[in-house]
Amino acid sequence: MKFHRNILDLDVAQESERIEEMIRETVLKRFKRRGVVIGVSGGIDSSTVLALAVRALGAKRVFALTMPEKESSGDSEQLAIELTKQYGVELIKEDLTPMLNAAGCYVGRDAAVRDLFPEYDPAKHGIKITLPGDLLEKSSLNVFSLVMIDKEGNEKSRLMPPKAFLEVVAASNFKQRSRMMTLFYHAERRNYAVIGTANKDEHMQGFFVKYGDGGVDLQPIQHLFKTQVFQLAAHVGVPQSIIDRIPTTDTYSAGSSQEEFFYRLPFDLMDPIWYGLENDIPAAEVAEAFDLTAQQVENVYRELRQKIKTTEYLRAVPAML
Amino acid sequence: MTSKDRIRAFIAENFQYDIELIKDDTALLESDIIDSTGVMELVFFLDEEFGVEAEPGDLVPENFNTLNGMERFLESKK
Repeated sequence: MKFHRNILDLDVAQESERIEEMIRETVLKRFKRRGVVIGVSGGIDSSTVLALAVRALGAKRVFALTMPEKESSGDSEQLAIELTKQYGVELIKEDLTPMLNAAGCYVGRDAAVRDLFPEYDPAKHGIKITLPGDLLEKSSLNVFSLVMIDKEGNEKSRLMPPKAFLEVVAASNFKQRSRMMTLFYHAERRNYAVIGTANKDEHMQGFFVKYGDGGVDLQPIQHLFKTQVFQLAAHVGVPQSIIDRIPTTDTYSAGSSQEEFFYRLPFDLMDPIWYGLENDIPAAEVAEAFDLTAQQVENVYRELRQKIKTTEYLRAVPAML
Repeated sequence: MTSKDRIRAFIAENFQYDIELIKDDTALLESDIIDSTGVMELVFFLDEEFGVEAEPGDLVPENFNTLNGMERFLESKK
């Protein structure tokens, strides 16, 4: 079959049924749990998984949590309320700020930020981490920059030395890991499983925290590209306000789109190109479908290969003899 | 010790790689020698060792993939 730009179009009804069956089989029969606990962020992935879980198990066997902390974006909770109300799912809120304070998440991170920006004050500045954005135009290396933004919107940016980068990431990862602990607490007290919300882009490119959002019992949409999650979301009736929202990390105080933080390309371009890479389609053929040059597609191929290879550690199960 | 030899010694020590196998034109990024965190370490090694601070526009594979590329990059910053 010749490559074309809509190559990732799904038969959404069939795919939805396949996933629902997988959820039922895994949760009820294989794991012998009575339902699922899900963390909802107001994003499209968790919303779609919640909808699929309700279709698979019924709303009474789905329990949702919103887990904000003091730096979370305010609209996440409102969208979670709208979502769970629509699907008839019970929702509770767990504020993770006290747990994160106790763990030293903010203090450790802020100290690392001050190594780069001594004037940094969390009350006056937001921060975010970004990668170079021009992936199509040139193959730049994945060296992260720390961006500090004041209340007037003035930005300062500096390349992150490895020590500061590792410290900021390690401290920030407390957020995902505290969410995982909280989800398992609620799952175990109900004899439920924790259902994950990672898509293929996140899983294969390593855009998740090991034993954080990656620490779940089942991953029903992990085989789907993000663009396919959008298709499925529309099919299962996810609210348009959630579908239209720009995917964010909801990890750094200044707010950060997933594209600027990590992916460096819009999903509707990256995903079909990735399909081309996986299926050994020559770059020139993919390029033709998108009015790109073969070199631009080669840049994306190289970036994807590199990210998949260098994040293998995140996906690895514990090594043993 | 030439700049290439100093970088070679750093790579061998930091990434625990056989120094004999790091040739001037070995593709460090495309092989399994240096990963993404390793790139950061290399960029900041050049800063500390040679006082050359990379700008975002300098962070391209041509400048960091091989010892030859790094030497050219250091020369261009003089």
